[in-house]
Amino acid sequence: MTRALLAGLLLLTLTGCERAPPVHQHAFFALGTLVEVSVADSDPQRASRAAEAVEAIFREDHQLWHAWHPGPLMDLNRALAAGQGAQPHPSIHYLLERAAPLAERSGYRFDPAVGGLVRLWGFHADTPPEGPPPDADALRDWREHKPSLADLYWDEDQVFSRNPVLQLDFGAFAKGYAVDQAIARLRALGIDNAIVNAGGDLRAIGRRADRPWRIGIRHPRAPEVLASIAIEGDESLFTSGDYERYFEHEGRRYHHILDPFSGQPATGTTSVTVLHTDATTADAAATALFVAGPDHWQEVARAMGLRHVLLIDTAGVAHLSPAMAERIHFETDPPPPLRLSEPLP
Amino acid sequence: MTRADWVLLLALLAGLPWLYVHFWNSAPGQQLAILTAEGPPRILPLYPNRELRIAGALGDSLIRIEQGRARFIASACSNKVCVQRGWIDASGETSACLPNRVSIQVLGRDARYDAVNF
Repeated sequence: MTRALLAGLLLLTLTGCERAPPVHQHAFFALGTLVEVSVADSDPQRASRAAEAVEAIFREDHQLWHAWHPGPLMDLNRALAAGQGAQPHPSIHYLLERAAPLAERSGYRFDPAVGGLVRLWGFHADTPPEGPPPDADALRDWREHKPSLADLYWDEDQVFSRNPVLQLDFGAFAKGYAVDQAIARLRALGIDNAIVNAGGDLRAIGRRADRPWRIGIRHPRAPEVLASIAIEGDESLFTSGDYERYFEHEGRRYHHILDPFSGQPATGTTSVTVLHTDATTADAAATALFVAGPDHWQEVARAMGLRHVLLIDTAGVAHLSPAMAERIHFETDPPPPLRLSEPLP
Repeated sequence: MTRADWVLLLALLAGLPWLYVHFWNSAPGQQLAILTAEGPPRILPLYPNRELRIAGALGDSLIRIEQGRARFIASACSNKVCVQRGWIDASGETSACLPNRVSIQVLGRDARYDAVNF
């Protein structure tokens, strides 16, 4: 009996030595952020090749979709500004097709037609702007025209704009689509277990050999992890926060998530996290819910078909859907004050 | 089983929770990966204490390595988000200066998180 007990105890200590197989990590800068690829695969060479294929996708997208470096998107914007039609690059054509229904369902809170507004605020630059905020007359002028994706129309494969100030910017959307492309490529290369994390916008497939993937969600106001979530199978987790790109002017913070209706940085929210199957939808939704704010996020979430949402307001209160509350684990002690919403269908 | 065996057994038993806590949490990392827009990452040990000047897209970033941890202490960016991030020492922790395209990550086994939404 005693021997059996001793043997059992010894076995118990051995479990501490069991380690997960190594995960191949690859990181690079693209689309204005740090992209990290994690591949759990038994063949290290295949994992390495797959991660490099993901980098190639992001590098190509970076060049195709850049809003202020010469390339296909700038060419298209120049044509639209001149009142001309243009045949967009196939990948931009696809982005427009995917963005249109999402923008509509979001009530145009997510709207890639805000390129002119983003430029006015100075966020079309490789470095964050230093302020001051744009001239009030320029902002009023933009709001009077209030371009939206609904102003675009097609004539065969040519796209035209009814609105002369419409300029496209896929900053709130491109990372989601790029992440989806990357996961599709990984799968085609035989990879079943991976994470593609584009600056905190990520999609995870499969698991980490011995357990689900563990994802941390950054605290919007402290250099620590606010909450964590386990992902197994195939899910995208996207966070939009006011801490990502901003400038301060006369003691006030102006961040990059702009409300297309006010023309100002959206107020009331510090971060929004969305869990969804596809990354493209999650990316658009995180922006739309941030703009909707603590009072209106639920109606936008319903319209966009979301079930898992976490919104941190400027008072630090965590608003969350019941489905998200079941999945999320707060890592801070104490956890933030919680406000549970009605279930989202 | 003598009395001493039992004492030993109980002492070992008492030590078990410590083992679990110690090995379950993120182990401190031993190496630092420094990534820039150019070329593959540089992998360096987190000892001895020193400062590194890394050329980025806008200018230099200054990284301090001290007692197994690392941080940005200066960078050629405007917001200094990287400097405010402070020290990182656990496996998998990252601090990045996106405008200057320099990031540092502590490498090691048993990262608490496989990825962080930031």
